[in-house]
Amino acid sequence: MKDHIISAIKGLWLNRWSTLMATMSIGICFFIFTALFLIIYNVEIFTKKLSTKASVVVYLKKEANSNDIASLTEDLKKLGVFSKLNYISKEDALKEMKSMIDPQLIELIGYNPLSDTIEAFVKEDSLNSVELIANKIKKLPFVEDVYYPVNIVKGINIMRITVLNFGVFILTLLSIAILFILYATVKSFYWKKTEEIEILKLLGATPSYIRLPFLMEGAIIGIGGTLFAEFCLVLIYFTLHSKNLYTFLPAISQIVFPLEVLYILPISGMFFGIISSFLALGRIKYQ
Amino acid sequence: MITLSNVYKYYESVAVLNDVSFHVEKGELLFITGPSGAGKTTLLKLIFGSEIPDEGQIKVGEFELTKIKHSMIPHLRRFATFIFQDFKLRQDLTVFDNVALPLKIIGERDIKRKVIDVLKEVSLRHKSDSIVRTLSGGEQQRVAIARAVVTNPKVILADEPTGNLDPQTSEDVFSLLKKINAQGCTVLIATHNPDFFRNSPYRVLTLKEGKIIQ
Repeated sequence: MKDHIISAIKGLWLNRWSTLMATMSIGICFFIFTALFLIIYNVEIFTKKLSTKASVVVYLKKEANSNDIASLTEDLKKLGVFSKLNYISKEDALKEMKSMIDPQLIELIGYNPLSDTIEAFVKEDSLNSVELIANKIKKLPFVEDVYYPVNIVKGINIMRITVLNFGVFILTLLSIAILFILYATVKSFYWKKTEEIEILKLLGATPSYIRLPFLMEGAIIGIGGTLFAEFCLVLIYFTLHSKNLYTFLPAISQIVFPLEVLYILPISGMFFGIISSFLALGRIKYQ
Repeated sequence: MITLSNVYKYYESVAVLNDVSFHVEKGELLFITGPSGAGKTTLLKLIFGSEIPDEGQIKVGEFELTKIKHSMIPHLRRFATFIFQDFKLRQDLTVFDNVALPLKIIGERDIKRKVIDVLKEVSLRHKSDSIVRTLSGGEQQRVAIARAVVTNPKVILADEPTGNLDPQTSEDVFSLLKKINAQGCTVLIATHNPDFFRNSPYRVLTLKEGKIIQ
């Protein structure tokens, strides 16, 4: 194993400019790859956070008494799509209204125009079916009307799906690009060592013995590229945090950087390196 | 040790080997001779597993070459090693590293002692740290012989091992191969130089246009 590692390092050093170029190219690809992943990841968190704020407001009919309201609350619970239900009586609603608007204006009306309401917070996984849920609630007894933030919910979903689809498309393209760069690099190293490999075959080297240094070269380039990408990402992350450059988006209180990325990325780089090197070498033929 | 039965080999429908059959005993030294294009190299390549016969059977030790699996060829090449006319050495490595290469391949631990021992046998101990490209042709061929014998193979195949060498160096190389054979190794030497086998006690196989004529 030691000989293979030395052989791989020597090989990379002999082709140092190609190695450097390949590592940088892969690093840039991995940087875009991971940055995009982080954007998708943060958008997911952001949309989930928004979804917890999305509530359905159920306006109750004037004739509904406390038993009817309790029964309706039970019916809403049975739907299993709400994380929280708040009953707000029309008296409480009026109090709250008075704290927001000049009370004299309300007294001019002469009576309480508000209805009893139930504020129902939608669970994250039911966000997509909020419109359907609202229609179901409308059919329940003692329900006057239902209000839900349809545009916000739809907007969030469209944004999430768009970012996800676009992200998956770009991630696929980048994965192919990374494989191709590594494939081409290792293939060129292989061609440069044709004579050396022929000698190894004549001396009874097994295919795995011949392949191992190349797989290591691919793995080293892959890991090198990912470390470069990580360095750039961490640098950008801390720059954003230190200068609060993203405070213009108040909904995002913090960009989430999962620490798992720090070890998953080099492992992915190694994996990509090994796979593409394996493909580049093909079948070792003796005859 | 080596048995060929009715072997045929064609290159673009031209028979390079035509119904070749012979047997080599364990520990024998056999000369294969004949003019250029007679099929000497092809014959050695078939025994080494570099080529596949179109017809017939070849058995080298326990290896049945007509049925040999691809994965078994490296093992065949440890059983039977090859000495090439053009040496096939790593020119960028030292003598020591070249000779150590087959030992590294088989995962040998005592590399240093074995390499030094074999370099002493070929009188190249003092050149151990020299880069191969700085050596003369005769020295390079001795390195190639050292590399071929360092793993103690059962068979050595030598294709024109003295083809690029002057008469005195050729004589040295031939003496070395005889010495290796005397230690019990089966040796097959393809050569068109009759001086080596004239008046020698060794068996000679003469090929002409792919056929054994003597």
